[in-house]
Parts: sequence; structure tokens; C-alpha cells
Amino acid sequence: MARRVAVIGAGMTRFVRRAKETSRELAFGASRMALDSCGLSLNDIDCVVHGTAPDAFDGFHMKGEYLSDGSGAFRKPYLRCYVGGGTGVFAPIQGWMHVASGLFDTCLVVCEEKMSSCQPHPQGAFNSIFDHTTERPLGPNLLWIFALEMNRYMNAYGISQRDIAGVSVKNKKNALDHPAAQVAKETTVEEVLASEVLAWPVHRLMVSPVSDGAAAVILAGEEKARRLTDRPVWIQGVGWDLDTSYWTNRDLAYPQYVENAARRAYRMAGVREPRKEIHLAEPYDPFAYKELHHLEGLLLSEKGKAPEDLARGRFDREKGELPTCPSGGLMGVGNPIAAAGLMKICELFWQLRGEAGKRQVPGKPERGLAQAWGDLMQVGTVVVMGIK
Amino acid sequence: MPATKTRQALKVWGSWKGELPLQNLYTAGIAGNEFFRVLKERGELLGAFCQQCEYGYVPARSFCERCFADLSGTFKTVSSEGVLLAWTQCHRDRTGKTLKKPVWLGAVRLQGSSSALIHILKVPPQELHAGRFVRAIFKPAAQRVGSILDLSHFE
Ligand SMILES: [Zn+2]
Repeated sequence: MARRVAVIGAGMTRFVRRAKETSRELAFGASRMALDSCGLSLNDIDCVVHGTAPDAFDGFHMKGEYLSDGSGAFRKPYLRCYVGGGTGVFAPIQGWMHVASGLFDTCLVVCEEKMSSCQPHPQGAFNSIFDHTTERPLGPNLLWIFALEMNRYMNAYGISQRDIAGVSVKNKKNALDHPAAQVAKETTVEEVLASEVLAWPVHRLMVSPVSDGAAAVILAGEEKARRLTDRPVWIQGVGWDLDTSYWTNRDLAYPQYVENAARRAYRMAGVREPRKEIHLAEPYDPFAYKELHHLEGLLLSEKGKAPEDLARGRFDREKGELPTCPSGGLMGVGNPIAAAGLMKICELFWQLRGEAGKRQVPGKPERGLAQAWGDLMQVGTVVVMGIK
Repeated sequence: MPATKTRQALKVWGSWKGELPLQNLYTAGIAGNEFFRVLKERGELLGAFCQQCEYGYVPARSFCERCFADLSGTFKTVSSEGVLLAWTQCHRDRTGKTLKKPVWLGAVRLQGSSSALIHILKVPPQELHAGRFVRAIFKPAAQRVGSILDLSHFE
């Protein structure tokens, strides 16, 4: 039987465009903050897990090695994991395995991304993830895929752009209370719908920004965690799942792979009725529609009904029955790919300890979920965390 | 399948040249910016020093990878003289082409530094041996742009 593992510390840099720091300095900033938050030094860390997305962003191959010093990996067992956008929630799962296995008592998990330095645009890096024979000659970027997927989601359930725009409004507003946020703002559905169309039906204000930043958490086995803090936040369940890598061959209206990942995590966490037992969620929201799409995959909304839940305020931070992206999410805090996913784990940690300040979800939440998505848009990664 | 037939099939399948068309705006960073500013303005090499680890980093770094100390307050210039730890005489360039003239590279530990700096070496071949003292030669101030090549070579 696996050992119980807790998150005992967290830290993150501000998310910005054109960071003055190197990628290494960003990783160091978040790692050092996470250590300081629980009074540990690098000596207390048994192993390090690093997560970062495409090498091309930093203009550096073997980015895991490049970032190892800022990630505190000097003369320690070190693992870099990578499932594209899903990495930020995948990395803590790898850290969990290191500690749950009994091999290590403590693990520093750090994720970093410096996208804004990629020229002429980070989207250029994504062009090379498409099939070189059948797709790249068309010159696609990620927006094209998302536009098609969003449109498929709308067509399958009769959803409008207006129904989806509310996600941008909610998350950008939540982010106003996040000190690390890059694109927080008070906005309206009208303003979102009036923003530039990048690839119909995707408008500019439905897309997360290009960001630089890093986030880190400290994991500890049960015995160690109880010695180091009186408020450990337990990793109760983890799950991940991969659909076909041909985006032409999967159900674009429903992310079955997210459901599979969530079911694994729920089973491990002993969650039978997610809609009752999950008190707050940080679904992955690089695009406005993705939050809704993912909430359905996570079984937190009925298929095709997440937009209705959103409209009636079910996901609101202050009064909703299931606050989603209380941090402000990728749409509000920003999207340094892998770091953005781990930011969601940090948020659960702060929320479940009651340390989220102005962002604090009311009602003393006891259990939350974070999810990320990525790779070739076919991976789902899920972590369930709680105070019991 | 006979060899001739295979060749024909490959011709039919075809292949073509593609590329990963990307550039990057590389960042010197907090420590790197200081290192290159001092190199450009003063023709000197800046290091960072961790007291706890008794380790000197050249070029300067903003943190110690060994103990995670913040080193941003420890920057100071080091001697431009040091010891040659290792050297090589290179005959091919990065694409595998033969160089017109060989290039010498050396790993140099500057006085006051714990780490080595890799750079071009211009030392008479008969004098090349580990342990030899070498000296950094900088480009004239007017030619310095804030690049590692502002340090011309070691001799
Ligand atoms: Zn040190």
C-alpha cells in the first residue's frame, strides 16, 4: 500500500511577459519560495521532479538539464517529466510516486516556462508538433485546433459563444485578487465578444496570454509531513490518461481521457459523488471553453450543461456551490504552460489551508481538484487534494 | 525485396526538406546582465561568491546551486589571470567541415574562481600544458558590445 503524501509548502513567481530573469532564475525564485514557506533548506530535500513544456520555448534543448540548478537538483535524484500542457499537474503526480513509493521522504516539484522569448511567436514552436506530411503544410497553429474543437463542442450541445464568454469574465475577475496575476481585469461578456476574432469562434479575450513564470511545491511522506507542519494538505488521489494522438480521431465534443483520469483519481481518493465531495476545482482553462469542456469531463457538470451551471453562478468564487478557478486560472493569472498547471496545485494548497487571502473560498472547503490537459491535446492529468 | 526495387519504391515515396523555424530572444538574466555590463564597460570579469559553500562562480550567478543562497549581493570582479586546466586543438567545425586553421579551446580557472571558464586559447602549441598560467585578453572598449566574445581569448 502506498504511503500517504502531503503538500507542505508552495511558492510561485509573478507571471509576466518578458521576464528579466533567466529560466533558471525563475525556477530558483519559485523553488526558494516554496522551501521558505515551510522552513526547509535544500539539504532537507531528498529528490527533485521538474516539469517544463516544449524545449523550443526557451530556445534550449535538454531543458530539464538546463534548469536543474534553479530547480535545486544539485547532486540529487532528478526527474524531468513532460506531457505538454498537462505537465503542471503531471509533475506533482511524479513527485507523489517518488514519495508514496517509500523511496524518498521529501520531494521538491518545480515547473517553469519562459514562452515570451520564443520568436517570432511561441505558436511557431507548436507548428512542429503537427504531422509533417498531412498537417504542417497547411501552416496550422494551436488556435486552429482549439477553434475546431470549440466549434464542435458548441455544435454538439447547441452552445453559443456568449455562453462561453462568461468564463473569461469570471476568471479575469478572480485574478484581480492574485498578486502574481498577469491579465486580471474587470470585463464583460460584451467586451469579450467584441474582442478580435483570432480563429472563429475564438476571440482574443477567450485565450490565455503568452507568459513567463515558475511555481513549486514541497511534498513529504506522512510521518515527515506531520513533523513539519500541523496543516498538511494530502494528495488523496491522482489520475492521468491518454487518448489517441490523432486529433482527427477523437471525440472533440467530450474529453473522455479527462473522465478516465478523473475516475482514477476519484477512486483513489474514495470520492463517490464528485459533485458533492469536491468543494472547489481548478480545471485547466487555457481557453474559455476548455474550463467548461473539462468540468464536464471531470464529471462536475452534466455533458453539455457546464455553460448553464456557469450562467446560474454555480462556479462563482464567493457564492457558488462549486467555485472554479478561484485563483483566476490561466485566463487571469497567466499561462506559462507547466508552471500554470502547478499554480493550480499551489492554489488548492492555499485554499485548503485557508491561506488564500482575498481569494479565499468561503465555507472551509475540505477537498479540491486540479486538472491540466495538453500533450497533443489528448492527455488529462488530475490531482485530488484534501485536509483529511 | 531486391535492392533495385527498394530504391524505386523510395523514390516513389519521396522525401523533402523541412525545418523548425524558430528564433529566440535570449535573456542574460539578473546575474548575467551585471556580468556583461561589467565586461562591456570595464573589460573585467564578474563573479559571485557563496560563503557557505566557499565556492566562486565566474560568470556571476544570482544563486548558489549547491545551497540555494541568494548571491546577488556578492558580485565582485575576479583576476583576469588563471590556470589552464585542460585544452584541445579542434580541426572540424560544427557541421563536420575541416577548419582552415585549427582552433584552440581551453578550460581556465581564474584566480578567485572555483569554476572554469571555457574560451579561445592563443598560446604557442609548444607551451600548451595543464597548469600553465594564462591571461584574458579583452577587445578594445570601443569594440565591446556586451558579449562573451568581448573577451577575445586567453594567452
Ligand atoms: Zn552555496
